[in-house]
Amino acid sequence: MTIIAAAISCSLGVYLSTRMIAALYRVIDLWYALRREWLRVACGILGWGGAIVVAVLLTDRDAFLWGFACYVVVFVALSFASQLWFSSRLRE
Amino acid sequence: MNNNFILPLGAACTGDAALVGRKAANLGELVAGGLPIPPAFVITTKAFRQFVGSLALQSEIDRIDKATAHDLRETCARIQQRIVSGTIANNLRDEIFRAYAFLAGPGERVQSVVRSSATAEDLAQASFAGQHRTYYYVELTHVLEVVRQCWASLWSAEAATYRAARGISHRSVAMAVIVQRMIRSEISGVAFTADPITQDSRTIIIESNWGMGAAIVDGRVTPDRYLVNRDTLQVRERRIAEKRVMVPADVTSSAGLGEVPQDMRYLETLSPQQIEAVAALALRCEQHFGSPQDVEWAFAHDELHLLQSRPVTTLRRQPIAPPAGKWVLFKPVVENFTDPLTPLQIDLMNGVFSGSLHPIGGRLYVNIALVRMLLPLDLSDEAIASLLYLTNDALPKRVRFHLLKLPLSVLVATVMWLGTGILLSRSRGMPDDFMDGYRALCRDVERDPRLGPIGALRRLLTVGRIGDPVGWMVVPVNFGAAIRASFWVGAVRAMLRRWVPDLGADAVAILCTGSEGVLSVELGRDLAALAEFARQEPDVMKLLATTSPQDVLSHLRRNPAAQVFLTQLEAFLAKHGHRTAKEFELQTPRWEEDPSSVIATVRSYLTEPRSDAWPTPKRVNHEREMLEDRLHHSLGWRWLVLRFAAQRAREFLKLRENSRFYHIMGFGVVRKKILSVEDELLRAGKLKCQGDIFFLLWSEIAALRSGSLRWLDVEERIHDRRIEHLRLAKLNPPRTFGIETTASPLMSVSDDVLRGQCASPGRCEGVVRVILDPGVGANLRPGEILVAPYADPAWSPLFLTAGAAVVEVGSYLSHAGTVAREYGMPFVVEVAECTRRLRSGMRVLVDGDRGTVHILAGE
Repeated sequence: MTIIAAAISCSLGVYLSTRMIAALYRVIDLWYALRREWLRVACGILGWGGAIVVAVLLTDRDAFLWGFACYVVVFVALSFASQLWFSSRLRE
Repeated sequence: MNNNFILPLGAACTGDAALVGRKAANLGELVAGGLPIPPAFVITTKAFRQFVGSLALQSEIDRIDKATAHDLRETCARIQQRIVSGTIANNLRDEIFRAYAFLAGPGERVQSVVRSSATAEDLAQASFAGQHRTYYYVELTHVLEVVRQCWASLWSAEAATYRAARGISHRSVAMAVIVQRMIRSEISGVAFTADPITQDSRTIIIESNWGMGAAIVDGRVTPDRYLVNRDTLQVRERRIAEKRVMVPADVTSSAGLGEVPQDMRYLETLSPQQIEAVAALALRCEQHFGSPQDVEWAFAHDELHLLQSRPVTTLRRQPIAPPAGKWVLFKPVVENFTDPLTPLQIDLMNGVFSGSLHPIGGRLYVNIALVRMLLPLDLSDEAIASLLYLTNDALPKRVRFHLLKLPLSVLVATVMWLGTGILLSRSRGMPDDFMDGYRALCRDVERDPRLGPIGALRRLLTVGRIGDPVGWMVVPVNFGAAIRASFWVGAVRAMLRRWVPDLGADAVAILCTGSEGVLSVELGRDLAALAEFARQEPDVMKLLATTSPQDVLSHLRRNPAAQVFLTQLEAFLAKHGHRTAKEFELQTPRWEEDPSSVIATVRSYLTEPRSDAWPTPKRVNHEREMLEDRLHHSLGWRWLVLRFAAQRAREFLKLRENSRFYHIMGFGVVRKKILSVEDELLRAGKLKCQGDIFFLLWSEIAALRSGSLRWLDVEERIHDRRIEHLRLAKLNPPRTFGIETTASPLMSVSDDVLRGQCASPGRCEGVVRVILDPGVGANLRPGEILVAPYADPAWSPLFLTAGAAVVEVGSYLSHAGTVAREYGMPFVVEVAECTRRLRSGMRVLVDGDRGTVHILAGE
């Protein structure tokens, strides 16, 4: 595939990674009301999961998965980095 | 006591300035003139020279003349350190103690006031160079230490620089020290024989408070204020303040600043005879010195004492020193709270916002250069400033893209999205109660002894941990909602302007309001419901009508018939008690600490019968549905797009209001933690006065706790910061620094018409009520036009009864604007100086659609 197609696939991987992470976070975010909201949570995960499957099938798989995985790593790193940053700036 | 080192104050005169310093010489003259000065003695410059000579500081002093700025600071610090840690010779020490003993009666424990008294004429002018230091509550055990501090102040870097700039020899300067008995006054204050701001000498200004005067002089209390006619000595105008704190006259108390008893807070401090006596005393001082005087006075056992008299200096209406660079005022804070922030507040916010916001003159500013770099638009500095300030009054009609900046802007936007995209997704489409768990988190943090103020700030008001639910990240959620609300409201406005240009200006407001569950709106409605509850209880109604808000609670608690109302009040405070006016400032007590302003608002609701015109969600929704129907028919498929945008706008406006409700809760927890630290420091004697902690930086507080700083090390900086805070509070903060601005189009079009901006449409004619603080005397009658410097959500209970509101600082998207639109109340913002140009009693027409205020009749 062309470089442009790979770039698009990679970007799509990043985008769907954010949506999937957000959908998985719904479990935590709606934990207090899971009995009431379980269907919404499940639809979110399944929906974005399905979108990922379709994207993997239709796009440059390697580029897509790279984008997807890299964003997961970036997200985790940013989460810890932000904690460290605030810890260094705000000390008791 | 007749020796070279110590002189009774009464023995000093103008000719002795070289020996006793100018201040002591002046006071000595006043003693000789028969004015009632408390007993004092002066430690002369001879004592100073003997002490300094014993330290062999000559070589250090010589070094200052040739020093660079950096070396000067270091050299001065060394000199000060040697003075402060030096030992006073036994003979001088004994003479000081003997003289001190004369200040007290037999068996009496006395505290003293210790004042610096500089010698040279020029040095006496340098009050900001730390030459005029005054130390209060000094006991015998500390007097030597404080005397050394006064001597050391001669060698601050600022004082040395000042002398060097004026060619004053460092060797020629000397410092005398006045040690004066501190009067245990029941009432004290200051008097100016000319207005320090305007220099108008037709009126004498008297300020007074209960207890000792230190609380007024260093800005710890808002005193009663009297304007007295200088010829007749009669009161022309009086303002009686809520006097919450005082320095009690009982010197056995070590608490320093204490609370004024409830029944005294709103009592006038001075009788007409006392006012006349103080005014006469001030005039005598002015006559003696031949120039307007700033006089400190005190009443003890009905006897009037003169504590100090000095020339009135213009109260530094100096503008705030402009910093380098280009800055614009950060609107989201100042539209909620126009006063300067306290030093601790700024210090903590710097830790959170680091670099993106900069404190100037106690307010927060945004760096325009940074924004210009990131914005791919071709705009002038003034245009960017108006964009950031949310007035858009300097934006050109057509905005061009700056194509060369586009790649950087796209890159930055992408990086920001990578960092925040997940949070934005998580916070969208959530049920209304998703942040309710934050309340439990706040409770846990409050109860956790391992978490201090910083730990609480990190846990509650930053980005949260990786496993936290999004409902706990209230600050990032609030920011994300604010940006998206702004975008979607702008989209709705643009669509309406393009597709339905003949629709009224209120169409945007109607489409973007009517959400149920907006907590700031519920605040006003819950308060109204509380008032209705009180209306059902005759005993409660009677108590509320006849007792001051400050005393009502204690009366209600004693009345069995009021228990049901009390339960309702407690339920209200359990839900909204973390709020208050000026809620952004950590120093401000919350309603749960002091519900008197809540009681005052309930009382004001009860003065009129319930109005069926009070806005209800049903009425607001009905208006919106009618407009939607009309647009549906006229726009066709475009209606779907507009409806989507309006739904989004409503969703994010509500999310922004509700996340604000919760992050203020977090502020409340941080405040409680700070108060707990303050309590610890007060009990240990490391702080003397409540409230002082907010004038220290966190590093200084930590140093106080660890013992590396003591009270005497921080006392001066607290004093200076309080004075500076008072000064800054009197200045209107410039909207920009470093930017040339053309005249604002928001100036009045004529004397009778004030122009501002629309924040909520509608028209209303009514009588003006100017309110500067909703907690103090906010007796707004239904239908009156509320005029205020700003309005944060804590003002919203007043919106229920106001016919319209006009403020000096605000925006369409402000919290108050959102609430006003939900109430359907006309609201005009950015009306420059409206609290001065409009007076209570004037009749005006507020046109929210056009953003104008028409003056119809005077007071």
